Amino acid sequence: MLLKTTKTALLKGIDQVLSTYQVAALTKQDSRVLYNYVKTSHDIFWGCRPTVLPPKKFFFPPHETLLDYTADGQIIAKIESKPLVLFGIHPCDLRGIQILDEAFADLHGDPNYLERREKAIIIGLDCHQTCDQDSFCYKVGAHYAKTGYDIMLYPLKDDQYLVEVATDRGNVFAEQFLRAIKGEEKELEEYQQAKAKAFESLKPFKDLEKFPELFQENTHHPVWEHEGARCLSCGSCVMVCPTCYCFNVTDDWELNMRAGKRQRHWDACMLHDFTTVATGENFRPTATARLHHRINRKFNYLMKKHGQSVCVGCGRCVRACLADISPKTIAEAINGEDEKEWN
Amino acid sequence: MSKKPKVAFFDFTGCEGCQLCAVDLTPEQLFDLLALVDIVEFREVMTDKAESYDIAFIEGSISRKPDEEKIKDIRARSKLLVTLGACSTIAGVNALRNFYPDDKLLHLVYPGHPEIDRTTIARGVSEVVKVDAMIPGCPIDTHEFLRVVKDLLLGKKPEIPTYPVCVECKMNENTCVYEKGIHCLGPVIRAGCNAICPSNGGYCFGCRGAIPKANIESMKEILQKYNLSAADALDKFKLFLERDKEIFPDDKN
Amino acid sequence: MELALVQSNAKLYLPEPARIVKVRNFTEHEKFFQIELLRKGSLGHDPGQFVEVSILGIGEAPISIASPPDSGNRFDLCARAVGDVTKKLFTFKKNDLIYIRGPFGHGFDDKIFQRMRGKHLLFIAGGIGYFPLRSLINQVIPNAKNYKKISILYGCKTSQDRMFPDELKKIHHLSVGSNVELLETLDHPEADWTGNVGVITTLIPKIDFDPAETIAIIVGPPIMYKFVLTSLMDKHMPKENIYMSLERRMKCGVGKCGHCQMEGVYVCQKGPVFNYADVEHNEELF
Repeated sequence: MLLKTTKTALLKGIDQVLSTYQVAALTKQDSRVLYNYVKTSHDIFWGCRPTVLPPKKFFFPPHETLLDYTADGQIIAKIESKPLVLFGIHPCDLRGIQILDEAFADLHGDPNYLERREKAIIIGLDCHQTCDQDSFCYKVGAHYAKTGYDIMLYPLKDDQYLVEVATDRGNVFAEQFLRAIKGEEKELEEYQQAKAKAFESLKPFKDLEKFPELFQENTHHPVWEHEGARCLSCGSCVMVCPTCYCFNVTDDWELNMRAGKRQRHWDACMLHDFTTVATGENFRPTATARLHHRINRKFNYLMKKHGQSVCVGCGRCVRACLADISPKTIAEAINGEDEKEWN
Repeated sequence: MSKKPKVAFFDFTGCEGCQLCAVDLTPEQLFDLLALVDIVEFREVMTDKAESYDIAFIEGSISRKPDEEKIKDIRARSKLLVTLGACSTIAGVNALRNFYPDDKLLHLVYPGHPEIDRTTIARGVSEVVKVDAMIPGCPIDTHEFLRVVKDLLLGKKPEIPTYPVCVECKMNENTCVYEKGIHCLGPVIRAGCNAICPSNGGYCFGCRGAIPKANIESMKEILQKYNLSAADALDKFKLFLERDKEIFPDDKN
Repeated sequence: MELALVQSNAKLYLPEPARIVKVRNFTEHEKFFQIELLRKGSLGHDPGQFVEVSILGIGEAPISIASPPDSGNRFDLCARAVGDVTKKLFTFKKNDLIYIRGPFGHGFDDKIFQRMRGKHLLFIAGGIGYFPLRSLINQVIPNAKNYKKISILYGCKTSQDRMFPDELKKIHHLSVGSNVELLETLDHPEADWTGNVGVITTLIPKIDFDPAETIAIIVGPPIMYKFVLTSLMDKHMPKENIYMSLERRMKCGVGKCGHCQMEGVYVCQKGPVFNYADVEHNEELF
C-alpha cells in the first residue's frame, strides 16, 4: 500500500503512538547524534548523520540479563521487552536488522532477541545520497532496502513523504496514527529514478556475488598481513557493526550472596582472548588471523548463509578504526578492483 | 570465633585513595561485605592487628628498601595477596621518578637534605613478591573491587578485562576523543573502568595498564598521525606505564 | 522473513536442575560424575554430544557426555579441572545439584552408525580423549557382533593418567576370543608396565586393518591429531572413513555467541564430531 503524508502528520503520529509504544529515533545529545528513546516528536533529530552505534542495541543490548536466580535454586529466564516503534532507520541499518533477524532465528530461536523484535514496528527512511566519504553502502547494494521494515518513508520535496506500508504491523501504525492520503505509484517511480541517477556513478564491488569463493581462495593474500599488522585488536569495529552479534556470558552473585544473575555482554572476535579456552590455549592468537576471520564472516562464511553480503557498507567500522582498516580496502584487494600491488 | 575469611589492607607509597574507594560503599553494601569477611587490619579505620590473613589488599608501590622487607613479611603471612590500584599493580605515577637518575631526583625533590637517600626505583608489588590477583586503576573501581572479593571467596579466578577501553567507550556510544583532536591511550589500555574518563569529557591516561599483547607500535604510529612527535607520543605513556617493558625497555635512561 | 513464523525457544538459555548421584576420582585433576535428571525421561543424546554445565554464580562450561544414550535419566560426565566451573564442580559431592543445558552439537548420529555397521572400528584415544569416546565405546562393545572388529588404541603419559582403569581391564579380559581388542601405550611408564611404550602412533602399525573397510575415530589433545592423521594417511585410509571430535570454546552451545566458530564452522553445531573429509581444508581447525 502506498500513501503520502507530511512531516507535520508524521510528527503528530509519533506523538500519538507514544501513548502505547516506546519510540526510538535519531536524537541529538550534546554534540552527538545517536538513536535513543524520545519523549516527544520534538526530540527527533530530523537529519541524516552516521551514528556510533547502529539500532541493533534496541534488540540486542550491550548488556542484558538472561537469568535471575537465587541461592535456593529458583531460576527465571528473563526477557525485558516493550512495544517499540523504531523510527527513521536507513537502508543500511534495515539490512543489518534483517541479517540479525535471520542470525538470531537460525536453528535455535534466541528468545530475548526475538521477543523484542516481535514487539517492534520499524519505520524506515530512505536515503538519496551516501552520508559521508566512509560509507560504502552502494558497494554492497545496501543503499536500497528490500525488506526489514514495516513502513518505508521516501522523502519528497517540501517536507512531504511517500509511505510504503509493507506489513500488517505497519498497517496498524498507518491506520491508527498517520494522517495520509493515497500515494501515486508514479511519484515513487520518479523518486526511484532520481535516486538511481544520484547513485549512477557509485558502482557495486566487482564480482560481489563471487565473494565467498574469492575470499576462500585468498586466505593468504598479502592484504591480510598488511592490514593486520596495524590492527590494535581494540574491538571497536565489532562494537559498532550492525551485523556483529558475538557475545560473552558471565555469572555473578549479589554481594549478599542470596541472589545472582547470568548476563550476556557484547563480545568481539577481534579481541585477543576471544578464542582462548580454560586450558589457556588460544585458537586464533594473531591480529591478522582475527581480522581475516571478521572480514570473512562478512564476505564469505555468513554471506553464504544469508545469500547476501553481511557487510552493509554503513562505514561505522571505518570511522571507528584509528588504524584506518576498512572492509572496502580489503575487498578491493581481494577482488583485484584496486589494481594495487600488495606483494 | 568467626570462621569468616580474614581480610587486611596495607599501604605503601600511594595516596590512600584506593583504600577509601574500597570502602566507598552504601550502608547496605558495607553490611553485606562485613557479613562475608572479617576486616582484621586496616590502618585507615582501625588499630587492630592480626597474625595472618586470608586476603591481603596492598595499596601503593614498593619504592623504599624497608618496603621490600615489609611486603615480603605480609606475603609470608597471607594466603592471597591482591594489589589495590595502579601504584601497587604497575607502580603508578610514582614510577615517574624512575625517569630521573637518583642524585638528580633527590636534589630536585629534597633540596638541602643530603641525608635522604632511602628511595629505590618505584615498582609494582608483583616485581617483589608473588601476586594472586590485581585490581588496577587510579583510583580503583569500587564495583570491580567487590567483584574480585566475591570471586576470591567463591574460588573463582578474579578475571579483569584483557580487552581495551575502546570496547566500553563504544558501548557508551561516545564520540571518539581523537575526533575532538585529543589523544587517548584507550586502544591499548585495559578496560574495566567503563571508560569513565572518555565518557566524561576526558581521555584515557592509561592508569589500568596496557592490555596483554598490546600493539604498541601501531599505537605510536597513530599518535604520530594525529600530530604528536615520536617523543611526545612516548610522553603520553610516561604517566602510568613506566614499568611496561614493551613501551619502556630498561635501557631508557 | 516473517518473524511471527519463527520459533523462539523460551528455554534456550534456561538450564534444568540435575543431581549428582555418583562421584569418582581418577586423579587430582580428573573426576567422574554420574548425573540424574530431576525430570522423567532421558537426556536423549547421541554419543559424542556435550552438555553445558552450569554452576550458579560461577558460570557455564561445555562438558562431553561420557555414557551411551540408553542409561535412562542418568548420564555420565567426566572432566578435568581447568576453569572456574570445573574447579567448582570438583568440590561438589553426591546429592549436590548442578544445572545443565543440552545435549548440544553433532555426535555419532544414525547416519554415522549406519556407516560403521559391519566395518572395523578403530578407536584412537589420547589421555582424557577417552571421556567423549567412552560414550561410543560402551555403546558398540555390547553389540560387537554388528562390527567386523573393534580395535581400541589408548595412549597416556603415565599409568596414573589412564582413565577408567577398571573398565579398561574388563575390555582386556573381553578381548580374549572376541573381535574386540585394546592396545595401550604410555609415554613415561613405571617399572611394572608390561604394555607398549611410546606415543600413540606407535600402536598403529600393530593393528591389522583394511583401510577401506575401517572407520577410525580419534579423540585426544590438539597436538595428537596431526600425527595420527599422518599415520592413517600413510596407510591410505580414505578421509571420509575418519571421524574425530574437536572441541573449541563452545560458550552458548547453540551457534550464536561465535566463540567456537573456526572459519565458517560453528563447532557447537557441525561438531564436535567431524568427518575428516568435510573439514580437512579448515585451517583453523587443524
